[in-house]
Amino acid sequence: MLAYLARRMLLAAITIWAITAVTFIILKLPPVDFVDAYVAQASASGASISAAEAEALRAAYGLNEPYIVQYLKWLNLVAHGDFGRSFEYGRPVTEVIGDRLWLTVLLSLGAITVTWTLALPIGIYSAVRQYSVGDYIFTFVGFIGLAVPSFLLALIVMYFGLRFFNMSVGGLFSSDFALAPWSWAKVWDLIKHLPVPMLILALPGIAQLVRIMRANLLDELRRPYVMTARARGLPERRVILKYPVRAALNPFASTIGYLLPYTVSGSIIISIVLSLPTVGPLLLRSLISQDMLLASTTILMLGILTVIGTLVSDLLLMWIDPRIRLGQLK
Amino acid sequence: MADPILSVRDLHTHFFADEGVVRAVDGTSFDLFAGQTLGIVGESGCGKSVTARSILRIVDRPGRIVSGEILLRRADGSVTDMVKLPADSREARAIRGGEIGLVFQEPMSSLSAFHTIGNQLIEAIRLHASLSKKQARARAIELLAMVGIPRPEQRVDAYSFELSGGLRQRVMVALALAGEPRILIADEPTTALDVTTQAQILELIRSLQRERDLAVILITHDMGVIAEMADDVVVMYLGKEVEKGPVDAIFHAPNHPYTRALLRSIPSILAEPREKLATIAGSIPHPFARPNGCPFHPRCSETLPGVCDTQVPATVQIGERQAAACHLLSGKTA
Repeated sequence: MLAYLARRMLLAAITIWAITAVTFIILKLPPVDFVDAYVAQASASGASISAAEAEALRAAYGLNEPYIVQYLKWLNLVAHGDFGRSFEYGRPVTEVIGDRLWLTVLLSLGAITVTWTLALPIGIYSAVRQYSVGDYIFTFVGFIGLAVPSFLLALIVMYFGLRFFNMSVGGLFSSDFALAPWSWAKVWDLIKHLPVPMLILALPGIAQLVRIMRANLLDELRRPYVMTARARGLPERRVILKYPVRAALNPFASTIGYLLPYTVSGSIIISIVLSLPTVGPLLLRSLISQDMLLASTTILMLGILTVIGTLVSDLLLMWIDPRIRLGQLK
Repeated sequence: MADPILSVRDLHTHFFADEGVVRAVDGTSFDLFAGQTLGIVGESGCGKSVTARSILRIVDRPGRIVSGEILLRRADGSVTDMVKLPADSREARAIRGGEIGLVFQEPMSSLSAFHTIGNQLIEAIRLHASLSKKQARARAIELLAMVGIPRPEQRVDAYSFELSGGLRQRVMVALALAGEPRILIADEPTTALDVTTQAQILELIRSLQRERDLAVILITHDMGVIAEMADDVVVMYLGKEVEKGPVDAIFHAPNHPYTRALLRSIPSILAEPREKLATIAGSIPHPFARPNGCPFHPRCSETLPGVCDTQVPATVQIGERQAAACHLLSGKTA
């Protein structure tokens, strides 16, 4: 068990290191290096950057030195929490990303919670009552949920929200609070705005997980241990919830790691439509404007969050599956 | 003879699939007595396991008991018809495990890999007796010791995948007996085990039967196991009972051609080297294409044309306790 833990930790560390290398490559991808881009952009917008200032930036990132030195210098800066400045916003990258990262994590965790609390019971119901009217209804709705692009859904929800309930569904804050400093009133405002985007972000995942849960559970329900549990005289509800559902949960735990990046990169369009202040639209915009320090930092953050998510799902698997805990399965 | 503890009367369990109806059990009747072993024998797919599941009312959908009676004589002398009980009712659940225990053929997959053996045993014990967790745990260790598991105090916290196949099957027996049932149904309990382990498990079942005066239903396709264990035998073919009787009569005076064919296909220690093993011609018909008349007639070496393929044979009583369903016995000729 300790060996398993140690191996996972080591793999996570190696993966994070690999992510930094890829991030650095992305940083260097544009034909024009980011200092030149910064200077050009500044002069285009009327401001000017002195030659000395540009030179200082070059020196800090070692842009005139070999790539490996550049990489190490950049890594050193990043390791000390200095992600540089966003040239487009004219502010430090950490400040630009700032709250957006936490709002993204909050929204993702919220969406995941909604997904699970709805998808698991529906999936269980659909499997246990396979081919019942309810199963057909959920299957039908589920396939629609899979087929309809969620940004369209977002637009529809916004329309109906405005038309019939007179509520604005865009954004995560009312206009009064958007730029205000954090306060309890702002938190409450955020809580009021969360449900709709959470639900819209969750819907495709719900549709997918219902299908997965249904298929997993149908497989498990046929296994002999279900029959033996029944033969012992257990009530049907307990038979199902204690044994096959437990087994069918395994694949769920192992996909947690992917949910986080999905809610970021898979939901850029939704975030734009709903004007959510999350990382997704920021990443898209920084890539378009080649604001490379901002873009690469965002990618790095997402990569690290994914690794952490995967680590969490590994730990969760270890917790729920004794075969992994006791080293029977690799 | 005493009253039977379990009487199955003309049981029909059918599966209603889109393609048609599979008559998995199609008229089976037998009596089971305390302290006795009833062997149910037949090829795969003849309805042996479905019979066992029907008795416990745990037939999976789309299967359903269509008609018949399963009369269980309770400890207080009253008789309960299992067919009339709703499958998930409190009384049916109390009987499942509490009156009738079931051992399955696959010890590998019949235990949950996510729960310790103790967890599953204690759960079963507490379902049928009001014991505290601590008492139930002590009882679980006792049960494990009783079925011959070494170091039960440690094994109680083991997971099934940490045990060998033979030990797992012993755990299955312990689980089946956790509710102190008076009837034990063993559905191919030794099929997945190696030969030495098979003998041990059968011996275990036999000694438990002696100690607790258990009535045992032993389901198998192995005539050797039947010869060793059973007092009475039911031979099934395609859901129908083709012959039944005391084990000696079945082995020494088989009346049905199918019983004779099964007995011929037992490998003999006296056989010449390289002698071919006798087999039953053909294979079991597809469940949706049941033959008319006697279900065995296409494979039978003694078929009477015009009779066996058109009329379902009636059961003919031979002597006091033996019966078979064959036209040859009712004196019909082609």
